[in-house]
Amino acid sequence: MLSERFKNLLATIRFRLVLWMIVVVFVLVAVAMFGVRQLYRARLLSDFDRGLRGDIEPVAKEIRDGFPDWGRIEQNLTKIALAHPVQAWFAEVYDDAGKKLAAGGFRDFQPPLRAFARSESPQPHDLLPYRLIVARLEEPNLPPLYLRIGGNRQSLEDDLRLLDRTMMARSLAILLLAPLGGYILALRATRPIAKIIATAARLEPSRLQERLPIRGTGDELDQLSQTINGMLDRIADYIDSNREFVANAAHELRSPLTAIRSSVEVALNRQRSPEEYGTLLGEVMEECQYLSNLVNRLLILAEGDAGRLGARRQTARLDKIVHESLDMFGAVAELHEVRLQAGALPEALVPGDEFHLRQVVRNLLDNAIKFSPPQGGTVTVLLRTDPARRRAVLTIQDQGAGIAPADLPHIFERFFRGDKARQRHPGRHSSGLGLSICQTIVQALEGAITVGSRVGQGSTFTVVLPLAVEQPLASAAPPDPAASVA
Amino acid sequence: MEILVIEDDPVIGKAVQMGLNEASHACTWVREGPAGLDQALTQKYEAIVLDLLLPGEHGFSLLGKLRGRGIKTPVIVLTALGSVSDKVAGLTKGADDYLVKPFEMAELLARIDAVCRRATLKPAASLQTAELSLDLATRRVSCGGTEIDLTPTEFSILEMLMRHAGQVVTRKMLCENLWESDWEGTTNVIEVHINRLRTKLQKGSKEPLIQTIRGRGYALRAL
Repeated sequence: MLSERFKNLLATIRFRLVLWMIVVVFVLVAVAMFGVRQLYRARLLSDFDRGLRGDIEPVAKEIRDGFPDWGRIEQNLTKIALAHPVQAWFAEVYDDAGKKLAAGGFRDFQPPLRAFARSESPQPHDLLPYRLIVARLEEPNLPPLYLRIGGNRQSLEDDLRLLDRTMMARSLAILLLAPLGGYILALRATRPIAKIIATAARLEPSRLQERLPIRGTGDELDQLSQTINGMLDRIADYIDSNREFVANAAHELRSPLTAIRSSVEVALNRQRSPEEYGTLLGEVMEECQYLSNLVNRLLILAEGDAGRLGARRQTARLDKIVHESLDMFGAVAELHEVRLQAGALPEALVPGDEFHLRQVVRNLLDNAIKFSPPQGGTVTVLLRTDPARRRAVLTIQDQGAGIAPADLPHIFERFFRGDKARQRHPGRHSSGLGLSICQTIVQALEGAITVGSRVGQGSTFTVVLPLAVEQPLASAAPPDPAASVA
Repeated sequence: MEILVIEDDPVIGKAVQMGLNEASHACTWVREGPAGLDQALTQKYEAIVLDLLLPGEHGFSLLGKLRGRGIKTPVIVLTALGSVSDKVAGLTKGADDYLVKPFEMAELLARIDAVCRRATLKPAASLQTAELSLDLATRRVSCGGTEIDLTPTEFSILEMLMRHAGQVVTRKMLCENLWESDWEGTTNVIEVHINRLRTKLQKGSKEPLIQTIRGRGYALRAL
């Protein structure tokens, strides 16, 4: 559509730049020209006036010389008028009562009486098209006299008009050239943008290798290109890690599926006793459970990636959750001769929902017990609040084998499994997702999870969460006594 | 009990129907939304099991129409949408309970029992089986006449098992009952408690009372 294309053109930066340039140039030219004109006019007027003031003395001299012969004076004044460069120059002499005594030069001038002002400080003034000056002449051997000297200021107006015409012509030329120059400048300025648009339009999620050229000028457009390139790098990294995640997830799903398939195949191979079927189906069921656990864990990570974990405005009592988790793992710890030691649990209201916070505490506690040495050891759980810095700090420390320094930077990565030998129960069903889920959840709640570990001495996981802004009174009750440590 | 199942997936529908029949419930299985609504409006059921992504009509809209007509039959929503906000949405739309696929039949049966009980009966003060007696008020347990001392966790587990005596109680159900939400880690946090409970119950009964059902959970011998 033509009108559509026209609309698009109107919307371009280039068009708007040109439009603005025209407006700005017009205003600047108008202001400048007007200023010059006013200056020139003032200059012309002051020259004219200086001329008139300068004429007072020669006229006075003629009067002094010729007095009281007014006829002679008039003759001499006419001589001055003829030689005078000002058009229609005239000089008149009046007495105190306003009676004209002599006049020379241009005679058609009939000034009204009020123009004959008796001014002590004579100022030239206009009686268009004339400009004149009135001066009082006081000499010892003359009666008090008034001089009126003036002339037509038409030549001045002519000069001004000539100036106006010249300036108009120049302005018009500038105004015609400005859009053209503006268009060229705008084109130059926006060409890199057009390039950016074209490059960006070529990018596909499957093909993100291309980057915008950096011209090295360091200007805003270079900065824009650099920013976009940085963003593309991050997007490409994100997509890569997502691809890897999907591939890993598929791989993880494959192992329980294989197990299910083998069990079912064995079951279908030949007729079996009900007991055998029961055993095989039980195995299938266990694998199914593992499969759905895995899917649930992947979903938590997916929700975290989508930024939906921290979005809900909920608060939870971290101390209650820790208490409850200690209860949950108390018996397991006892079974493995692990001493579960917890300090006082101060009330800690943190943002986040209980379901996800439980995942964090339980996963860390489970790991701590799992990685404790075979002869037992102590798992220490500490929760403290730091109201000054508005945060709650949970540390879970074990006395296990510790994490190898080479593994330490990777333990929060998805599907990362450390040295299995350290694990007391190297079950096939370790998803390698527990810690990355912890990290995803904690980070979604604007907290941080860190680990410190020494081989042979154990590991300490620290979770820092912000304290919730408001501490509702309703939740100030102590933890449910029924949920005490078993 | 008469139960209406509205579920479009043939495998799940059939399994649910079989499971319900074997638990001695009469079951009507409908595979489409509008037909399900017709059934629910024309016949009285004690509970409705409702899938959400149905052909013809979404489960939520069906639920809305049902509640709009004043039908208060308990509804258990069955769905693959499992995030917390999905659950909240389901419960605010008038569902009585929410079960995320994949689910275990034992859990569905227990939840049907629970919503129906919620709808009709008052909670019992004590629970009885052939050998066990559990007093909910005094929190005392006796087995074959011998009083048994239980920790609060063991008491809760036994209570749960007795409420569903003769039925399978899954680890997930026990976990949720004890600690609010399921623990899906590899460490079997229930097993230890069950083993202790078994040891304590042996004092009063020669027969093992709690059976482990592989891959499913535990069941208390009914008789």
